[in-house]
Amino acid sequence: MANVQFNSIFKRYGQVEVLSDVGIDIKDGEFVVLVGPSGCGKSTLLRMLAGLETVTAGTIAIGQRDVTHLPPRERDVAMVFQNYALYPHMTVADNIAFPLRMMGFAKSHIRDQVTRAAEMLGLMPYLARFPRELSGGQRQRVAMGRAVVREPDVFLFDEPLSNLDASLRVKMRGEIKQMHQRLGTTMIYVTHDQVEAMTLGDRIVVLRSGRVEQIGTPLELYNKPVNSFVAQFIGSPAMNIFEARPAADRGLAIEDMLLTDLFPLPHPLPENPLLVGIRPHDIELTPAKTSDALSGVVVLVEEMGNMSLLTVQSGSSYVQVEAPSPSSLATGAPVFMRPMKEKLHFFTE
Amino acid sequence: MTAPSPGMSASPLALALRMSGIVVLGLMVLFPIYWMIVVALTPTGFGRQITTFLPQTITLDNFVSLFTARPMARWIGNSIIVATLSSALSLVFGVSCGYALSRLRFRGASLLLIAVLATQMMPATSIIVPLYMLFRSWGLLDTMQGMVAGHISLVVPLAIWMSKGFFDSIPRDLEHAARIDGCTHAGAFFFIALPLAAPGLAAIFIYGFVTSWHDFLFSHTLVTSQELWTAANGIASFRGEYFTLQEMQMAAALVFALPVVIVFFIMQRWIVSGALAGAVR
Ligand SMILES: Nc1ncnc2c1ncn2[C@@H]1O[C@H](COP(=O)(O)OP(=O)(O)OP(=O)(O)O)[C@@H](O)[C@H]1O
Ligand SMILES: [Mg+2]
Repeated sequence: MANVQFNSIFKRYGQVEVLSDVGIDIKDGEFVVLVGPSGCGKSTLLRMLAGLETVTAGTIAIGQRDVTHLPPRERDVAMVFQNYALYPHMTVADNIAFPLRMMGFAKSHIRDQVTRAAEMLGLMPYLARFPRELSGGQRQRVAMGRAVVREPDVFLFDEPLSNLDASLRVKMRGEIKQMHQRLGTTMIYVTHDQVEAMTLGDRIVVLRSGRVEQIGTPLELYNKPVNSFVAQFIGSPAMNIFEARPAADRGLAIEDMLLTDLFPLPHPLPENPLLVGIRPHDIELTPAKTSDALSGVVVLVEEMGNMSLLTVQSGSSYVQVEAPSPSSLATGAPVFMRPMKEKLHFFTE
Repeated sequence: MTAPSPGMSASPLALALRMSGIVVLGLMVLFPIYWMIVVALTPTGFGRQITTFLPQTITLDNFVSLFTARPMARWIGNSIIVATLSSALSLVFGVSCGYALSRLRFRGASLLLIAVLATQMMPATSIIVPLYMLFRSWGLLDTMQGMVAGHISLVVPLAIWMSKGFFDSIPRDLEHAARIDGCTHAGAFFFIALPLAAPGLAAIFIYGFVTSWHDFLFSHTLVTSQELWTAANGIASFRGEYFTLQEMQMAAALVFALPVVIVFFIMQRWIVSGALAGAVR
């Protein structure tokens, strides 16, 4: 059990800066999710914490120890790899026992611990099998078993579910969450799936091109994103972002829509660009054009079952709107959309 | 008209042609070996008088005199020592270099690899002269160590390339996982990378053993004393200036082939495919 601190971490590969000035403070027992688009440096950060990559500048601490320059085995972390990285020449039991063997525990103790982990993960029938004789989901469990058995200070997960099919992914997600609740160990979890991030994380760290964009609880990120990147990254379907022109009466103009009496508008209004965001379900369809509504033409109807998602072209913008399902609107139909004023988000970047 | 379904032969004629092709090929490969056996079983001096495909009189005298009149056992023993030592040492060099080249990123790595390969492109006949001069000044001529060293120089370049290839095929994350699980760098190598490379190592060992076993040029040049001859030298000695003891030479050749076959059968159970299955994904 330990807290984890990244202090102003930099990582360079030659001239390429992959991480810059990353600072994250993770509390003991917290479940933190690192999320961001492909190539933003999530795995690199996790591997630096595990000791598999060197740190160009900055320090990493686990508990009260500065581990920046310690080899992996002295950091007391366990990691589940995206590709599982099971030892193919060992049985399931030997795979799970491996970390304990390396720590020099007695045979009987190892057997007990392996049994305990295998029972918890439902792996008892497979202990004598080799990894090649298991399904993807079972391999995933073995990889988790190998991590749990050690009772480490920190668990690291690098996209552990991305190779599983959708239903299994949801199931394993739940199991990981329960595992965290039962063990109470600090966990750091990398994903680029924002649904996984929202459902698993106590807090979420959004990374973009090697920089931390925002750190917060799932609802903080959802309700108060600091910029349009986070706003579009968190939440599905993604938030609509418009470039707005300032207008009279504390107002803004977007395409053919004029919004007035806006509170709280940043004051004085920032120079361009001023970005306005609204989530698809915070837009109402109105039967007729009003000044505070956008007009447009439906270009795509996607039936989701619980709602239908319309993509509407309005001027040069494309807007996504949620409408009741089944939709009475077909492609080509004209629509008028009125955003709920109190649900607007304002960004300068 | 019906098209022939895949997997079924089109016509009996095609089948017959194909079968006879296989038989002819098989005969071409096997007949020399058969003829070796026939000649080896013929009394010394009568090999040229065989008129049928079957031996007229069968005798094991050639084999007996190989081991009584000639030091065949000694030669085979020398060959076993030289081949085992040189292929084992080549394996150690090859594995350590190959692993380093596969896992470490350093300046000039690819240049080094090409240089290693370039040595393999030199014909052995051109390497033997400088090697001879070196060994003379180091006092390695006419010694077992010298022969082992010479054979290592023959085998190591390809051993490095082969083992680099095998290590390249082992996902690095396996060693990363091992290091997180409590291994040192060396531990990850010995517990994970080495066992997984075992099939490849067996192949390298066989290659080294066979290369050393079959070498004539190096052992002929670097060693003169008869008691240090390898079996390849021994076999050549049956061929005189004017006169060749064909029957004994064939008997010696059969004895010569046996250890290689044995080594191959021992090592081949390591050469199994799919050792890495299930590791990742
Ligand atoms: N050895 C390396 N040399 C140079 N650049 C590298 C190296 N390893 C990673 N990078 C770069 O670092 C960046 C971050 O890589 P990283 O693997 O951390 O991304 P990621 O966020 O995990 O992406 P993904 O979601 O696709 O796994 C990438 O742009 C990648 O190209
Ligand atoms: Mg990654």
